[in-house]
Amino acid sequence: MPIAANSWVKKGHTMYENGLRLDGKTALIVGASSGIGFEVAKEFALQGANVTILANDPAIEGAAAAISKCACRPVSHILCDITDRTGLNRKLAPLQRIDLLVHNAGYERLTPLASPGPEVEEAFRKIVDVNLFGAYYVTREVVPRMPDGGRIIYTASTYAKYAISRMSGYASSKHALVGMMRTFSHELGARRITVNAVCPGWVNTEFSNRSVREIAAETGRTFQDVGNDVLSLQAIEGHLEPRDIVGGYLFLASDLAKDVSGQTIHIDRGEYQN
Amino acid sequence: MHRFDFKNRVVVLTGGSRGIGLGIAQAFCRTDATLHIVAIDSGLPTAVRELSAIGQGSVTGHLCDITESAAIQDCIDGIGNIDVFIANAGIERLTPIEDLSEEAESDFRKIINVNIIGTYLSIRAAVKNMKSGASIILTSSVWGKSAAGAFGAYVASKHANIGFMRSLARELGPKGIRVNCVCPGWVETDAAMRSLNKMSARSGRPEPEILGEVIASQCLPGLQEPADIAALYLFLASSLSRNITGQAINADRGEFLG
Repeated sequence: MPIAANSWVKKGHTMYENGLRLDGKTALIVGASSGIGFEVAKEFALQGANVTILANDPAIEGAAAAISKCACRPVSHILCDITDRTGLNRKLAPLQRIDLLVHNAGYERLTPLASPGPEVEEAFRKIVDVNLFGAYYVTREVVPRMPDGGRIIYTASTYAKYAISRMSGYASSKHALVGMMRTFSHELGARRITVNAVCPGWVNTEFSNRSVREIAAETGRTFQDVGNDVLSLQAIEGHLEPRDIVGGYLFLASDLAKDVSGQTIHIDRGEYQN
Repeated sequence: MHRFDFKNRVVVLTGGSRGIGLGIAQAFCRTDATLHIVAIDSGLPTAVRELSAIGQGSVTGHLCDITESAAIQDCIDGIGNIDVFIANAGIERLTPIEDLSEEAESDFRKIINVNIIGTYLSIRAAVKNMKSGASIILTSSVWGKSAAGAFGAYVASKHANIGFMRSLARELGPKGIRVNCVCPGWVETDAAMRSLNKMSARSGRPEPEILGEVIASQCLPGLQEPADIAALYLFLASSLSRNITGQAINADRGEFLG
């Protein structure tokens, strides 16, 4: 039968005992100075991974110190702009091996079609540059350092599947990220590297709240009112916190998820169902 | 949480005596769940005996037909409080549209009756014994999102499972009960291998050739085994997925991306 040897699957039958531990794995979490990325990095460190966090934000140093203190293990940090290819190449040079990549860096601004002027066009370009090209550059740097059986997890968004008004740049970039993820899952599957995306709903971070505030200002409504538009779509009520999202990343990173690839996992309390 | 632990958690699984269901049962036994298996096939007592040797929890078998409304209600009521309900029982047969035999029509009705009506009746019986924090998981299929020729009834029923799941997620969300689907790809089970045999007979192509095409369409190599699928059920049953509801997640080695 033309079926690849399943020996690596057999070994996986002890996976329930290893469960969700990440001992001995080297993880790079990109976009981890705060919010979801910070919480994911903390969880991975607590599960025994050797964690390096990266962001284009001086707060990354303090974030590494905080995670290190919490998990009682060293955590490295890299201050770097992921849209700067040569800088990224230089800064990642010390990392020999990366088993787990969580690419969480992103940029969100409103880009209303009705807005004239160069600012909105500039914002649109920057969104695509950070969210798509940034992910592309990071992945290209990491893949040669990733052993067989590695994990790549992108942070997409519910707006990778649908959109609301004024989000054209962000929704485009996140839809594109999912297309790229699906393609890479084909390209890397032969090496048993899984490639997936987590799609968070509206999480209580400055990253997302800023857009809600701006929509409220533009439409003359309150922050709460605009926010309720989003929350009312959820099957389970309440505003998600960064901590609520980490379970999906941990599962996808673990040995248990070795057969899940090319998928988008929505962690959104049922906001979008696909 | 370092590993999944379902000690003292009551997990009810339909169709757990063979195939994917047996793989799911083994996973919950390894994580010390209090497991109840509902099935109608004669292999149930043997499965329960073998499963009882795994882990620290208990395993109870219930011989019951999920399409019998009164029987399944009595059966589920007898179990009491339920933390995790897995609607996994289902049947897979070919139902080619050009097959005008009574047998094909009968198969079509039976597939819809078990996979859609049986799933409805069993979940309906279970919901009243579930509290906030509980999780319902339905076994759909990659064919709940895509299709293969000659499987009209099965494909329709698996699409229906996803529509039903989404509606239930909205309906039960306010009560804190989550509802999701697992969509397995090709798995080495008797049911799938029987389908492969029939597909081969219909097309005149050898089985390895057909199966080889399926495997080649996956991102990850190799044919899955039931144990490979089970991990996703553990995740969706656990508190790690407490913010995930209304989703249909594939465990298919990347066969269908969408």
